[in-house]
This record gives sequence, structure tokens and C-alpha cells, in this order.
Amino acid sequence: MDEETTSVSKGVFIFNNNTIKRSSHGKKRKKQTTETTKDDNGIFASNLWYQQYANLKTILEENITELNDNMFSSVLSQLVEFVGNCHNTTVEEIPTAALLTGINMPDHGAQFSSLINQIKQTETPHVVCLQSQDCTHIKNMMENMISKFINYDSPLEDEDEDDHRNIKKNQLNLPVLQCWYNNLYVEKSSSSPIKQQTKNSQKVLVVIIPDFESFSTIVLQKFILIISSYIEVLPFVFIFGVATSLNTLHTSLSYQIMSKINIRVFKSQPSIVYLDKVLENAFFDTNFPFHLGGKVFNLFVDLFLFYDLSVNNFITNIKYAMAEHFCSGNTMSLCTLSISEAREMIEMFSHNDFENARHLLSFRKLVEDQTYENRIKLLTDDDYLKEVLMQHLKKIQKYLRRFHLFLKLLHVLVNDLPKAPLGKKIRELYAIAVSKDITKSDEYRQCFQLLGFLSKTELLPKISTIINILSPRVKRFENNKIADFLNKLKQDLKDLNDFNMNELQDAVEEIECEELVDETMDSRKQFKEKLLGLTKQKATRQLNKYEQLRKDVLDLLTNAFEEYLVEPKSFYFHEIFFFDDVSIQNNIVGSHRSAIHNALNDPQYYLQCSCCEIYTSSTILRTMPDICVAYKLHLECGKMINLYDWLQAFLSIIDHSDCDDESRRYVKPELQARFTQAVAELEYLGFIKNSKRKADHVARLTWGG
Amino acid sequence: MAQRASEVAKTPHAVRKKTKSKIEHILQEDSTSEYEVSSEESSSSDTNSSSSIESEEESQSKQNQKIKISNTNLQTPRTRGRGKYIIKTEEYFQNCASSKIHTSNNTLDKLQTPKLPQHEVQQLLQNSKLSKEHKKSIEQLTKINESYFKKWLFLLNENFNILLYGLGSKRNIIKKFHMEYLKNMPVIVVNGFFPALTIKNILDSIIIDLLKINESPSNPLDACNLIIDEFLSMPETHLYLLIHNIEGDLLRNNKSQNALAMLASIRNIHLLASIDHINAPLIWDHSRLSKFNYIWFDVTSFSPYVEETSFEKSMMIAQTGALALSSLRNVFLSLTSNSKSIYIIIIKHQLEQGKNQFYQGISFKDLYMACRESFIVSSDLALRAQLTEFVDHKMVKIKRSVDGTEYLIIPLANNLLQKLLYENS
Repeated sequence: MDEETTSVSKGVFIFNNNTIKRSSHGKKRKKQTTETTKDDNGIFASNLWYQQYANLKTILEENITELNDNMFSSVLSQLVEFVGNCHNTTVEEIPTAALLTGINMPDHGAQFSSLINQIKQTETPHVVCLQSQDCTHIKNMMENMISKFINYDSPLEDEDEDDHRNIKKNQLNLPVLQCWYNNLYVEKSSSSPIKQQTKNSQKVLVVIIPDFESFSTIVLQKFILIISSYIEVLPFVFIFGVATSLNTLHTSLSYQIMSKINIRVFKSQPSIVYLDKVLENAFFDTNFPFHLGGKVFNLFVDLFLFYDLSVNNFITNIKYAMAEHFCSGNTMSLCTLSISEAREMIEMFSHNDFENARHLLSFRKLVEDQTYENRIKLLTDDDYLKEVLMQHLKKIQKYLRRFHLFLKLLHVLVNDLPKAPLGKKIRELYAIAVSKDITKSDEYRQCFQLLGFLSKTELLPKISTIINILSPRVKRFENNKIADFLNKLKQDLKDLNDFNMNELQDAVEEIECEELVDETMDSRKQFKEKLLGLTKQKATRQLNKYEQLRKDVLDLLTNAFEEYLVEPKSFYFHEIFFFDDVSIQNNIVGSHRSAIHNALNDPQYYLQCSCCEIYTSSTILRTMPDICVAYKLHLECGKMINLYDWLQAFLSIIDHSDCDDESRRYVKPELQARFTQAVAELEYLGFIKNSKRKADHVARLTWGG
Repeated sequence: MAQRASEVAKTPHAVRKKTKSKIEHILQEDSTSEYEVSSEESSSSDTNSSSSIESEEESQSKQNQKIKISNTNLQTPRTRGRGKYIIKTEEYFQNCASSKIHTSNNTLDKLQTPKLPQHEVQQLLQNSKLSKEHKKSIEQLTKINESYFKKWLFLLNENFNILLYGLGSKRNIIKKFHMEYLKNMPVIVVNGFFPALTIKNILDSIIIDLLKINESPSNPLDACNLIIDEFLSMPETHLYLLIHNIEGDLLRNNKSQNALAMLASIRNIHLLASIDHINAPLIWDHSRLSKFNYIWFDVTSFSPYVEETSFEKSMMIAQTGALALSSLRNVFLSLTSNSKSIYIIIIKHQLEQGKNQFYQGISFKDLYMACRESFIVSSDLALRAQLTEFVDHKMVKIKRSVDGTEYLIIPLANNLLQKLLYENS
């Protein structure tokens, strides 16, 4: 094996194994359309957990694609409208839309592709999206654009008509494009009266540049100049995607160029809005059984907010968490919200699968809570465990459905409170609710205190929204409890509505006015005391009728929340639905530098050997691997390191025997080789590099330890 | 000393004051640099809390699960907890504060054997053994690392790509993964550390050797697009791309990384790569990272970078030019006897002039005369034909001087030429 991939003359090795057989072009089209996701992974497809995983993954993906189409609608419709209208009057400058997209580059793909789709559907089939990597020179850019314009059209026409495609790339230029365009619109509309609909509307040519910043400015400037000279014959429209700010447009294009284009600015939504929508619609869906635990969820949100702002990456992270979750065994295949499905799954369980379930952490708790006989049964009897599992699964499934529902209700109540102690977004609520008992938290108490001060006009809409959310669900829940709750709530709402606030307020005002006006004040101090006395009086005073009603409603709600928004950890087998292994952080954002640092500074961290234990990080032991010794010695140096001295220091640690100066001249070849290798490896890792400033010196490339 | 003292006495007050302050400054600097060292020692916090392999049991018990992929929590004893790497910013200023570099003037020439040649180093290293305990713990590490294999396969198939990091050569583990799980799959292994590798090599080998398309587009982007089209058209075929050191010298440019990112984002091309350089992650920006879609794995192995450092680049290694010599030897052996003799004439001339610092090479006329004298060539043209062959193989460089005469020079060190001459005489 070693010989196969080691060579001094080449760096690429092929192991074909005769498995790649190119399909002929005829087959090509058919195969592309076939669904690939299902049969793709024959390796794991036999596992129960994999089936469930694949199942959920497709659900998630479908949800998200569905969302994507509706997501950017507001900005996109404006843009599409702009594209449609900009050439209605004769223009002298190229109409240009600058779309401020935000820095979340990986998401832009979805945004632009839905833009292209919409433009193609409604305005014009001629849309070209140019990538910066294809446009390093003005020549490439032109060729690319024109070939995309011309070639897009040809498949629509007869397949024999291949002459468009036969034009060589270097023959593509704007006169060709003009001919093609005239062919398509000007001549046809004059010759064939049948195509009435195209007669008036010569379709515009849209050029999209999704990443304006990564284009070379010189190329862009030339491009705009050239196109502007054709604007009278070819109706071009530009759409620039600008990731940073509009300033880049002004700084990268000179006045001469700017005068050729007519810019209108569009702002797309910040990606956080996008994230919230995705989460609410695809992930906090009551039908989606997989849940992230609080720690992991917070990790992902932090990664989003402080690292890349990319929703795409957020979704990939969720997918990865799902993969991690499901590959821990067949027990995870029970992660479903339908009882019958779970039953089906569990019937297929083998003994090992039950063993797998027994390794869940919450199983231990379950066992400890049982009587002695039951314990043995749980540990040995698979059938018994099956029933217990089903029982608890049912519980969790019920809990999850209510959990999401009541989380939404709580969100309605607390999202617009002053300072929003529980957060404004449902995701913030979720993060709290899955990591602890939300109803026992300080923030929750604070919220309900604040709710206790709400006026009727503020409280009423909240209650009615809650009822609106709740009522369609009641039919689905067989349980009477929720229905009862709803009815009570409706009753309360009615009471509140019926209650006439004016009466109450008049009464209050009267009292206050009387008291305040009646006595003539001697001093400010007296007045203050009077007011203080009044407030005390109020506190002790009986609640008035409105306050009583408000208290009733809030009590009703808080009781419900306390019942349904409990911590998921309180359930046995919650691990099946909740993934909370925060150690995946290292797999998502690698800690490359820290791993190397730890390995070099404290090899025992990885090796777990008894010989290399150190108490301070600067200790050097001769038992450590050579590279660690060399590394630690190099930390003691400044910017430059003398190789000779370094070698001597290395020897004095590795080999205590000879320390007089003369013997140092002769170095045991073996030790020298070890040092040589260690230095070469450090250089390879990028800690040092060759320096020409002084003989036999190397330069340090890092600082600190 | 007395003389100097009198000199000092003569110098004006201002100068004296200046020198004094200078000396003080130097002294201060010295003391601070000493202080740095001591502070480094003292500031190093006690990171060494009692650590135990607590989840060892857990992992052991998990091993006997029958599921095809077991998500063993083996990484817990290592990657979590203590010893987090925290950048101490003040150390940067300490490091940059003193512009003067205080190092001794010792050179390696003081040693009996200043530098060892590469092959000797490797031979010597083969003899050296690890301590028993380390051997055991490295074996243990390897075992842990190998327990990820099934997970990798799963993740690769789920359209994630895998990036391995951590100290130690990752060639063996990738190789083992290849042998155990990808034996019957189309696989391309790339040695990113290979000093003459280009992205074109990789793309060409996919297109020509794997897809059996006869001509490969010259532009890497076009080539990428071709590959992507091909693979999209056959979703049932999976290609595994194993890249040792994806941040290798010749792969770290934008073009290569873009091309690799494009390939890696394809559904049925799977990438498993490793990185070693401490700054390697800097080569990827957000859009590239999202295309690569990496899942990172710490596979610290402490195994020596033998292959990776074998290309004679290190400064501690004597530049023997063994590579160059062996390639020259091969070409030389395939020459006809006449051309050999011509080449030897050039070598001899170059060696005779070895001491001359400004040696330009042998002029064409001189060479022609010498060749004629030894009845090797009969005409100017025949000699030129021979020389073209030399130039094609880069055995000889032709330079034209200011006055128009052509000079021929062999672009190799003289000791190598001596060796070659010795072998062939």
C-alpha cells in the first residue's frame, strides 16, 4: 500500500476499481430526473435509525425549499417590478438595481435563484447570472454572458437547430447578440402577425452580478462602458448584489462609469428575519419530532449571530446534529410523533436495539425510580421494556405537541413586554424552555408581574390571539383538558369585554380628586406624605373588578404553562427526541490550532501516559516526544532562533550524559537526526521558517506559548 | 582601558550623557527580557487538573452494540474540558517590543557533522524507538481515531465532507480508512504536500484516467464544470477524494481551493482531507467553507511526518540534491554514447571552471571545437540537434551573452556533477 501512494514524481493516485462507467448522453437526461436520495445510501439503508433519519431529512428539506420561495417575496416583487418597468420609456443610462444583500454570502444562492425564477416566470426569459470566477477578463465576461443568453434560448426551439451552439466561444460578441435579439423580436414581430403578444414587449435582457465585490473593478468598468453603447438597441438591465454597503459601488466605479448607469437601491431583509422564519415554520413545527437541546441550540444561534449570519450554515448544522443524533443507534428510530409508527418500529427491534435503549442516560434514572422487581425486569426483559418504552413515548409525544403550542401562546403574551425579559423571539423562548423549567425562572416571574399591570386594551388582543391559535387545535386534541382551558379562556375574554372600564375609572378618579383637592396643602412635604399614604392604601386595598378579572385570566394561563411547559429532561427517554451533545462544537468549528497547541504543550493531554505529567506548561521532560521538546524550547526564544543553540538545548534535555563543552562538538547521529526531524516538522507545521538574516538561524512565526 | 578612559574624559558632556542613557537603556532592555522569561514561567497557569478517562467504561460498553455505526462518545476524554487554547494578547507586545535580536553567533559548522542528508536521517530515525508507554498510548490514540471510520463513511454519504486536524501525520489513518472501507470504490488520493502538484493534475486525472474522456479543458474552471456535469449525470457513482494536506504549498492558492470547493459541493463527490499547517483554516472564506461543508475531526496521532518532510526542504538537512541527481542519472543512461560524450565534455569544462565565481558556461564554439577534436560530431548542425535534446530534458541551459555568443551551463551543483562523472568514468 505504502508504495502505491508514495512517489517522488507524482502527487495524484487513482484507484478506479473499474466502477466508473460513463453513461452515454442519451441516458443522461433521464437519470438526472430520477430521485436519488433514497437509493443513494445503500450502505446504511438497512438500519432502522437511518430510515427514520432520511425520512426526517427529506421533510426538513421540503419544508425549507417551500419556505425559500415565499421568503424573499417582498423585495423580489419590487425588483421584478423594476425589471419589468425600467424599459417602458426610452432610457439613456442602463437601469441598474443594487440589491444590498448582507454579508451572509452562502445564503445568497437561494435568494438569487428564486429571483431568477421569478423574473423568468413573469418578465423575461433572458436572465443571465455571472459569477466572478468566470469573469476574470472582460473577454471571458462578454463571452460568458452572450453564450448564456443565446444558449438558454435554443433548447426551447427545435433541437435540430443547433447552429447557435455551434458558434465558437471566441466568435461571441455583442453584434452577434444583437443579431440574435433582432431575430427573436424585431423581425419575427414584423413578419408573423400571430405572435402578437411579443410585438409590443421586447423582452429585456437581465444581467445579474450576485457578488459585486469579488469582481475586478477594471473588468466591470469596461463592461458597463461597452454595454452602455448598445443600450439603445439592446434593452439591458443590471442587478448587482452588494454584500457590504452602497459605498463600494461608489468607490469602485468612477464618475464616468456611474454616469452610464441609473442605480436604484433595494434592501433585502436581514438574515436574522430569514432565520426566524425558517425556525418557526420548519423546525418549531409541531410535526417535526427532532429537537435540539438548549445548549446545542444556543451554540447554533451563537454561531449564526457572531460568526457567519448564514441561515444555510445554520440548517446544515441542524442536519449534522440530526446525523449525530440518529447514528447513535436504533433507539433513535423511535423519534417520531405518531404512536402507530413508533409501534411499528419497536416491533422490529432486536435484543441489541433494546440494549441500545438501555444505554440512554435517562434509563438509569428510570431504573433507580423503580421497585426492585421492576428493575430486574427492565434490565432483562425486552418485552417489558418495550411496553414501558411505548408508555413513555406516548407521554413525550403528547408533551411535545402541547409544548410547541403553549410556547407559542407564551410568546404571544410576553413578546412585547417592556424590555422583554424572556426575549422577543420564539427561538429565545425555546432556548430557555428546553434547557430548564421556564415557569420557574426569574424572567418568567418578571413577565407575569409585568402582565399584571396591563390595561384592558393591551390584554384583550393578546387573549383573543391566544384563543385564535388555540381553537383550531382543540379538535385535534382528544383531551378535554385543553378544551376546558379554551372554554374558560373564552369565558374570561367575554367577561373582560363586557366589563365597562369607564365606570371603574370614574370612580377611581373621583376618589383621588376629592382627596387631593379637598385638603389645602401647606408644604411640599405634606403633599408627598399624602401621596405615599395613598399608594399604601392602594396596595392594601381590595382589588377592583377589572384587576380581579385580569388576575383570574393570568392565573389560568400560568397554571396551564406550569403544566405543559416543563423541562424535557424530566421525561424518561427524552434523549430520543432531544439532542443536546454540545461536544459537536468541535466538529462544526474545528479547533485546529488549539489541538496542535495542546498536543505540543502538554502531550499527556492526548497520550494519557504517566511519564509526561507536568504541572506548569513550561516544564520540559525528556520523556516527551521530540517535537514537543523542540517546540517548548523554541517558545523560550525571541523572533530568531539559533539552530546550534537550539540543538544544544535539545541535547541537554534529551541526553544528560555529556555536558562538557568539548563533547558537544560531537553529536550522536541518532540524536541529531531526531532533532533534525523535529525541526523539519515544526517548519512543516508553520511555527518556524528559514531565515537569511543570520547564518544558521530560523525565524519564529508565532508569538506567545 | 586607561586609554579609553582618557578618551571618555575628552568627550563633551552631551555625548557622554547620551551614551550613558543608551547604556542604561540597553541594560533595562536586558532586564526586561529576563523578566519576560520568568514571567512566562510563573504565569503559566496550572492547567493540570486531575484527569481521568472517565468515559472509558462507557465507550467499552458501547463497543458491543451491533448497530452498524456506533456513535461512541470516545472523543470526550480528549477534546473537551481542560487546556483550552487562549490567545494571550500581551505576549504579542512582549514579543515585538524589542527590535534587537539577541542570539549567539554559533553556527552549525561547529559540529562535527553540521547537517545530515535526508536518507541518513530517515535511516537513523528508523532505529530510534518510542518508550513503551508512549507506544501503548499512541496505539490507543490510533484505535480511538479509527473508531470514527464508520461515522465518516456515514457523514460522507450524507454530503458532508471531512477535515482531519491535530498533531501528527494523518497519512496512515486516511490510508487505513481507504483500505478498509473504500477498497471497491473509485478513489483519488492526492498528496498535497508533493512539491510539484497542481490543481490541473488532480482535475486531469479525474477527467482522463477516471472518466476516460480523452481531452481535458485547459482552463481549470471548465474542467471542473465538465466533471460536475459528468457526475451529476450518474448519481449512483460515488467518487472519494482523499487529500493529504489540502493546504499544501501548491494547493493553497485561490484557484485550486475554488476548484476543490466546487468539486466537494457535488453530491456524489466526497472529500476527506487533512490539514497540518497552523494557519491552514485561513485559506477558506465563508462561501468556500459553506461549499466545503466540513465536519472537523481531531485525530491527533503523534506519528512523525516522515513522508511529508521528505522533500529536502528543511534547513537542518543537507541539500544533497539526491533527487536531482537520480533524475539526471536516469536521463543520462538513456542517451546515445555520442551524446553522453558531449555531455561529459560540458561537465568537465564546468568542473574545471568550478572556482570561477562568474562562470557563464561553455561557449557553443568551444564545445563544437572540442567535440570535433574527439570525433563526436562532424557538423555544427548535428551538435545543435544533440543540444536541443539536452535543453528539452532541462539538462542544459542556453544563455546568450551580450555579444551574442551562446553559453551552455548545467543547472546543477558541481559536487553532483562530480559524482555523475565519477560514476561514468
